[in-house]
Amino acid sequence: MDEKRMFSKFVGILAAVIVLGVVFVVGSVIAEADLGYTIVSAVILVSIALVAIVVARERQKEIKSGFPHDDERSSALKMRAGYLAFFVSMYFCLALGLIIGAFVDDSTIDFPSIGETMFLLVAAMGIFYGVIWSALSRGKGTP
Amino acid sequence: MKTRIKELRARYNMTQDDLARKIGVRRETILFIENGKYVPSLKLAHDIAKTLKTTMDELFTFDNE
Repeated sequence: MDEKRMFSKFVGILAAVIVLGVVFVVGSVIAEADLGYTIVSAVILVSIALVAIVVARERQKEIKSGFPHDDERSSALKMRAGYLAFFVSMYFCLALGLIIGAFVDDSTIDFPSIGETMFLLVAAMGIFYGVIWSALSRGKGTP
Repeated sequence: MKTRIKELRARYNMTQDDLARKIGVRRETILFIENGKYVPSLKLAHDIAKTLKTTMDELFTFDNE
């Protein structure tokens, strides 16, 4: 697949994420869902969309100047960041579970539902991926 | 890992951008290879050596050599 087609595909996915985010937030407001959860979700979705827009603009510049947006080093970086993000997320969830189990009285706290927890954990995994990728791409650890 | 990429680029009056474009990689990849922070694949090392009209042996030296 050539660079321009890959870029168009990326923009299409980004547009779909933004539309889904808007539908989700509007739906939550109409259904009178928990306001705090709706705000947190909206902030996460807007952050993801903003990062994606910045990445899309950078890629467009690279394509115009004749550089590939992906090469062997960037592929290795993505794989390593994904691998590390998976383990960091796993240990994060284990630590969180242990801390809540040992020190927090379940009956006094209004915990989020399973759906909300899943969303927040996947969002946390995405944030870990972004932070690790950013650190690796600045040369902190050769892939 | 040490490389002579910078030296050979200078000999052929080539910038990191030029070399990256010629072998089809990102400029940062050349930068990291030059600084010894990224060990390229055999194919990429071969392509760099060919572009700089040298051999892989001449281009890369490792600390344990």
